[in-house]
Amino acid sequence: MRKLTVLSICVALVFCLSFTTSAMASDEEEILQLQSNFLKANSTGDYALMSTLYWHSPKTISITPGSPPLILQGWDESIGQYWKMSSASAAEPTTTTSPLFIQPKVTFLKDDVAVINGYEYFVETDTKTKEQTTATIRITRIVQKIGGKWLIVNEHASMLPTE
Amino acid sequence: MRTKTMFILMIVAALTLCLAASQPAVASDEEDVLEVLENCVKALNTSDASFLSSVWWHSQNASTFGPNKSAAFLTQGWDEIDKSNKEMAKLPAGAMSFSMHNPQVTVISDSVAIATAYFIVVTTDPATSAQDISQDRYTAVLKKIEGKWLIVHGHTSPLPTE
Repeated sequence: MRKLTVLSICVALVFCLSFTTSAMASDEEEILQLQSNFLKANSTGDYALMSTLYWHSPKTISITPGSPPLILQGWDESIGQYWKMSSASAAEPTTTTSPLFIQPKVTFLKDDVAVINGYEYFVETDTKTKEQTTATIRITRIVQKIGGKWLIVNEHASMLPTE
Repeated sequence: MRTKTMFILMIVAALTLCLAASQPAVASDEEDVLEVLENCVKALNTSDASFLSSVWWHSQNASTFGPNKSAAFLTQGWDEIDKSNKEMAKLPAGAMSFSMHNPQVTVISDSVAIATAYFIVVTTDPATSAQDISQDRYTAVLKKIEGKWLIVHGHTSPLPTE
């Protein structure tokens, strides 16, 4: 009888552990999908897709690799406008972009908060001259599960320093 | 009728009390995070590696992106971060002078906060006294562990010039 109880507890624990691990794995997959969608929206100028990836809050912050602006704050006030302008300029592209996300690292700080780190690598090809340029951008993207969906709440993207 | 009004009033009073009690906690978290950053700046200016050690999460999951070529790639794990902090602490006092501007703290849950700020760093060559200045953008992710805010990730990047 006692053996059976111990066995039942063990089975329950293993079940709980595997459930938690698979939930985490699934969350990590969703987060990496978010990152993949970000690159897709960025390289194709898809504002509608980009808009679904961010927390639409005045508290959302974005530090982009270029300048200006220096630090964008708020989706409606700033970040959304930035992506609208970016997608408008992407309507008549002068380059084609092939982005890659290298060495992805997802660190869970809570069940519903995680940090994505890695490197976005872009190969841009001039549509006329076919000349190619590359850029490597370091990524810190903090994502939060809000209403069952992972969203970007803060990001810092910077060019790989060369000096 | 009177009892019902009294009951509603009591609920409203209780809700107001709860709200008032929760407000200072959030404000306090923001203040606490800001204090961590301000003290980090002091520690950097005084080469106080032990203070820097006390505000970092001592975990293999701690990580940082630095502002220059030598720290361009992700430094992972507390041991590696500690090594670079100790290297910085070896510099003579005054060799690097840090100041923080426009810090902003967002507490995104009861135990996770994000801080952003600008840094101005004046470097003085001890031999020649020649000075150099750099401006950085900084993001810190902090987690409240056992009641204390600790830095779990830092990202410093030079202010773009183009």
